[in-house]
Amino acid sequence: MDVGGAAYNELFDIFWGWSIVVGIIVFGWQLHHSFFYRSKDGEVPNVDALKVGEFPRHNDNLQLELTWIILPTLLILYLTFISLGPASDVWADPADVGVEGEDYFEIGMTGQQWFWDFDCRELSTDLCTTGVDEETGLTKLIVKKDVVYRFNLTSEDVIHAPFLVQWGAKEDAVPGLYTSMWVTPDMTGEFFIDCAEFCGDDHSYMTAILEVHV
Amino acid sequence: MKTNKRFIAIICLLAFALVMAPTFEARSGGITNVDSGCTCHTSTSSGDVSPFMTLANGSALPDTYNANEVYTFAFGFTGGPGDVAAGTQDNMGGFNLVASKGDLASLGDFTTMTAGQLTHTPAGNDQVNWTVEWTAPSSGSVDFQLTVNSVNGDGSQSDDDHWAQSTFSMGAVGGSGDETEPADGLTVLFSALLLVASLLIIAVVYVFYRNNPSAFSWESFKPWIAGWLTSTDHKKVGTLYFVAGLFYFVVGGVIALLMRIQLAVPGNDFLTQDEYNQFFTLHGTVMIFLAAMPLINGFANWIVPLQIGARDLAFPRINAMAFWLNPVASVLILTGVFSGNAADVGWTGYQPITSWPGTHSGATFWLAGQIMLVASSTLAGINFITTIATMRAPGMGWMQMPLFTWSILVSVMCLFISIPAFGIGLIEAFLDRTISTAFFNTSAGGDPVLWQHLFWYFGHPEVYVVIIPAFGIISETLATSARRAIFGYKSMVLAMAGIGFVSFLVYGHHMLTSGMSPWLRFVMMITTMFVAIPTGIKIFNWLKTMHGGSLVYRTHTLWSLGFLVTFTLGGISGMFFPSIAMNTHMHETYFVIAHFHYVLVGGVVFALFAAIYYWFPKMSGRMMDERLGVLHFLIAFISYNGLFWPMHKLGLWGMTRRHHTYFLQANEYSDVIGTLPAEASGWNMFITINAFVFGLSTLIMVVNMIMTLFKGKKAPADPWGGWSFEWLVSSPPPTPSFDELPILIDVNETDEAKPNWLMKLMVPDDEEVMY
Repeated sequence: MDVGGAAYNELFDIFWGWSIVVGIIVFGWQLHHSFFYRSKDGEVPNVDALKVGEFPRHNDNLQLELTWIILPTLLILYLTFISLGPASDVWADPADVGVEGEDYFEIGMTGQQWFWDFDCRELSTDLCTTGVDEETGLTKLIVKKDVVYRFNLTSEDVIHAPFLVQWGAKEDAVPGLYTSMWVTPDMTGEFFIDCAEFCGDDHSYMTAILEVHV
Repeated sequence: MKTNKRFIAIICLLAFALVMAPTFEARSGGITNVDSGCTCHTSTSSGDVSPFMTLANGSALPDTYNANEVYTFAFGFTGGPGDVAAGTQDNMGGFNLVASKGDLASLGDFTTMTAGQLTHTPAGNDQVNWTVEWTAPSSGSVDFQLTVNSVNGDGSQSDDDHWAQSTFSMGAVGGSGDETEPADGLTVLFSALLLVASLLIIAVVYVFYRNNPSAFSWESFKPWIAGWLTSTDHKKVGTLYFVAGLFYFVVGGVIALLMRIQLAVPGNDFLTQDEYNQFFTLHGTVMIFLAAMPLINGFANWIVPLQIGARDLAFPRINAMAFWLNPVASVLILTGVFSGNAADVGWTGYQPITSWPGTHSGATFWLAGQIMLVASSTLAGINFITTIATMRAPGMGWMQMPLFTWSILVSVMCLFISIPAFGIGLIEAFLDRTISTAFFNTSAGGDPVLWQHLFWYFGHPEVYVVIIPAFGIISETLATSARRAIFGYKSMVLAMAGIGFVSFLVYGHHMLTSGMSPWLRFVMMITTMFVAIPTGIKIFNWLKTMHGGSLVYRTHTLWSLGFLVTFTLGGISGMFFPSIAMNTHMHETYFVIAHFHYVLVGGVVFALFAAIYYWFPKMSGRMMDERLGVLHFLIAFISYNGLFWPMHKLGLWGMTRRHHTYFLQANEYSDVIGTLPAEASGWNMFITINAFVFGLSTLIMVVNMIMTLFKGKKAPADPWGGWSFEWLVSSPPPTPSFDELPILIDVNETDEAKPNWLMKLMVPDDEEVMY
């Protein structure tokens, strides 16, 4: 199942790759030492001559210790570096992140216990329509594919958080505060908007439908 | 004497007021107020009013109902002053109807639903009978409680107005009602709590009996138990911490299992949403504050004074007080459960939901209990910092302290510095709930994000407060098992201190989607990434410690190696969160659940298991059964991974946490793509089964511990060959532990033991210290 935004998928693959590398090193090392350095049956040697009441002699190696300070630091610097660009994508105006000339449209989205309320502002019906799904009774938002939308979020009561898993988008809707969530729907169909921040009794059923048309 | 009497009278009045307070709110035998409608007129119950309830067509109420069918009922009353011809009189009657099951729905203008109960509207006052629609539940017998008022119509309260109450029942088709009714979650929880508590009491009495079978009487039991309850000895208080921690570990586990039953299949109704919300709140609070921290404190109490060669902690009475705040706090935290009104806000207690009127009254007690725990932690913090700073044995400088002691020092430092923020937040939230201050009320200018800052400024170090002692434990058990000195002692200490320091700079990664300033989110992202470096140092140092050693396999060795695997996995999955573009996807999903259970169970709990197998012989003087220990490890390690590993995938698929159920792609919203693919259902069942296996495997350890107390082999002073002072004294240690303070010999050439500025700062000038 294809879930998550483009930035998420790209980053996840890189992180996942490095996780495997680190995993192989650590677990390979551990597996080898667990078996190779196990004591023979019944034998309890005292390699470092531990004795009660005596602080044992130091077992250091500065070069080795520096190695596993510096190498992970390099890896982490690299992972931080590749995370920086996509991170600004999450909030910034697309004009700021190099999608020049492309316009965006703002949709109001208000969380209430326990439903989502959409506000199309002055957008044309082609770009944004609100409604109620007849079959389920859920609120519904109909938007156009491949258009950049900025959801202007707030809440009437407690904190909610819309979660659009297909695009990996999530942001808290906080009472008394306006937050924004950028979504560019790139698939058509009907999708599920979930509430990700605990908001009371009907939290699990606080859902809405996002319909994307061509 | 006179003042005393007045004092007692005031107390009695207050107690009376407290007892009466709830009854004023309840339906005191009349009808709850609706809009401007009736206010119960009189409290005289009268036999001449008879309520009735029939089907809408006038036929009698059937004995059974069909599941999920919709019924229309007519109901009302005859007799009393209101029973006159229609139209001749206004304000003839009122009613209140409660159904124990199914859903009532108002029909027409005369009735209205208020707080789950059906009552009349002002217009409905002019009627003597009404109608209602009721949707039957799927099973179980149902009771309708109907309260009616028959009113003389003069619009004032008078003794002529009468009321009466009747209950009407229906059973489900194909069952005689109660037998087929599934046990509801709260009942199961009560039974389990009762069972656990009885087992605890039986275990205590049994331990007493086996201590001295010939003196099994109340006369000798009383001083014995009083000795435990009033002791200030660090070993006894440690044991109390230990017993309390294990008890709540089981309670938190039972709550978790109940939640797993609910989630085993999609759309389950084993727990109501309300119960589920209470359970996950209590699971988090109980496991962190009432299980993990007391268990760690238990070991700290027992082992730290022994390891540094001190006779007791610096402030034994404060130590006892810090412990005894715990049981009281735990009662407060759990109080709400017994009335079905426990806190339902999540263990993080986000605002404004915690101060929201709809939140259960138990949340107030829950906050009060946590304020007590803040006090307890502060007292314990002062105590341990002072003890470790001033009471180390001669010859033990800072850099000769055993790593477990170092870890406790770093951990209590973190706790001591972070917990005031939490305390402030809790008190503000408590005041918001009790005296209507508006710290977090947005409509009065309060700021809900402020709570998140206060909470996570404490909450993130708190996670390290429980994991750093785990590092200390593993450093001890693994090095001793490998028969080696720990590799890179200094870098281990610096790494722990580094983790403790960094923990204060990274808390914002819990708030990356909270509406916090984007600039601050970038900072938190970068600092969080750097947590991996000191943690990595520790893992590599542990691995290198095994190099060239001779690993003696014992139960605690297995748990330590298991810890390395699970903690590394938890550490790796933790690397995904700080990257903001991924965090927006993973935040509040089961990926987070999987990650922190890998760290907190695979890290903290596994380390605590290792510590139990490692230090239990020292505490009890008996060796634990290794075969049962290995069995426990194998079952627990496999089921543990089966339990939490699939949650990573569920989280990436989009399964959100704190949800009472989940939606598959083909679901009741058939047109809509639900969040989860169909196989998610199977994985959830798999997780639930593993959860039960993991939960039950813990009993093996408990049985092992109790059996060991009586049947275990006598333990020598140093069964594993460790070097620190706790192995110097006999098992179990005498009281006081050291007749004469031991002196630590450092076999290294020491010039670093010269007093430096830090030591001069921490040790008073007039005290003679041997460096």
